[in-house]
Amino acid sequence: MEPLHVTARLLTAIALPGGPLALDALLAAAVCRRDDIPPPPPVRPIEIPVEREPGGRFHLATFSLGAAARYDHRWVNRRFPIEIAQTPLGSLRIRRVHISGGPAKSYRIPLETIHLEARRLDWYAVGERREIEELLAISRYIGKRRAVGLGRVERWEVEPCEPWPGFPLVRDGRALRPLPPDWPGLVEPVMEYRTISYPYWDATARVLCAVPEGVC
Amino acid sequence: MEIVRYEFLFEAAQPIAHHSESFGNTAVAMRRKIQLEDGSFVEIPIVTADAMRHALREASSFATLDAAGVLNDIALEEGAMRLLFSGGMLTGKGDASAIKLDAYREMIDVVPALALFGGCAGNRAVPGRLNVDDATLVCEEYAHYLPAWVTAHLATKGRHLDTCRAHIEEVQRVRGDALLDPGKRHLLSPGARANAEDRLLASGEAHESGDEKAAASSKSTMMPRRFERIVQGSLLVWGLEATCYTPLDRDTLDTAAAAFLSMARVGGKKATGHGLLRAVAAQKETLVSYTERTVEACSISFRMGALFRAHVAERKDRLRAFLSTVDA
Repeated sequence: MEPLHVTARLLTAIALPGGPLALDALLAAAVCRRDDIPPPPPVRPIEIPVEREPGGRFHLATFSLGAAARYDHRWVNRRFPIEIAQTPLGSLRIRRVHISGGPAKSYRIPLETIHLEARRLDWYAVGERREIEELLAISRYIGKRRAVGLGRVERWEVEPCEPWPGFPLVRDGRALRPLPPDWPGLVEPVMEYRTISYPYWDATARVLCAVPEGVC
Repeated sequence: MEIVRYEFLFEAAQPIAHHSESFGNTAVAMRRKIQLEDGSFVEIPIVTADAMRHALREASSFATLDAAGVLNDIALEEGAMRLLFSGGMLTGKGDASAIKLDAYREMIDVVPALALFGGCAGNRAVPGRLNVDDATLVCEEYAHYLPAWVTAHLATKGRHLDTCRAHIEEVQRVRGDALLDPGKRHLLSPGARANAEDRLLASGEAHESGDEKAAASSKSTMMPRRFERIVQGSLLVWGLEATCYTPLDRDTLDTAAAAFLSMARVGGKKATGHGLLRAVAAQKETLVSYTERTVEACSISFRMGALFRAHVAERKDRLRAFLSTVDA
């Protein structure tokens, strides 16, 4: 395990409605894809090539560090395939389709996207460089709405780096990932209820944490 | 596991009318921001990845029904229609505390495309494994994002890039008012014809007298509208990639691509000569691991996968049963 600086060079805008991206979550998702582990809940613990903190609660990896150069938006649309239902392919029992409510409801939801400064996101971690490279190589799209081309990664760069005091989780007194409030080195941290390790969508595991600032 | 990526260079065989919104009676072409090399931003025309992915999903669903031999004698219920053509939805039915992996496996066994495209049925969302990019206009502003093979292809063909503005034209169409045609007015009943002629007279008088209120109430239903479109002959570059675990996954992906490319139509106004795309070149990249990847020029005449057809045909009765009961 060695101190690493990870960079994603992006080709497109990215959608991050949940805030910065966790490197450990990206790697865990890559393990699931590599090993064809079915969708959640996971049937076994997912191990990643990143060192854990001494208490074992989370990994020594930051959330993404990036800056927005410009914001944009798009729409997420859905409509019932009425034109196909009108053909003989549709059952005659479909006599009326409610598109303003119920299962066939149409929607058009706005989604904010971000064009990043220098088209890059950075992370820091303590881990196995080769294994991390292998896993990131299959992470070709990141963020939300990957299926429709957002967050496309042009290339990943994983380089050894010089650690700083508090590496990699705290820099200049600021948390670079959700941390327990008593984590050493924090100075007047911003506190929120967050999940401290992946899967981060698990709201039942939220605890009071010192959290990173910024939107990406 | 392997990641298969296809990149296509399309030519607009017809103008493309894919719009984002309309102002008054003018529809504007769909665009997205891109960053130029100097750091500034411009908006260039695209066909959204959502539209392209939907077209692929639709093509693969028709291919599935065709391979099972049920395309001409099946009547889909609302849930099956949603699942196949819109990705389904979480109906909230079923026990949300139990994820039925066997039901998931059964679903992707009888409809292999669902494993790639994803979808929702019952109480669960099936995540997809197919990422699709926007089809983006090949233009001067996008030059530094073009894949190297596309740049090389354009150089070989001696094709120079123009600005995105040059690839957009604004046209006008008019919905006519049949009642303005004396020949057609003869088809009306006597009462309706008298009403129509009275309205025309009233309209003429209102204009002469400058009575705006009367002019508005007696005006014809003729409706001019304008819209932007991508000009015929423009090139668009498009990519899609899928995570494949089995030969069937790969064959399903190829079948979806083949079904889509055989008649690739995107955007609106398809009934009036818009939206046809023709693939002119393609490239396939296969990535097995960080160090193992192959890149090859690939044929644009994809074939329907024999493995996919055999797999679906063998499960014809299960597919029919599944589609008749699926809650999506």
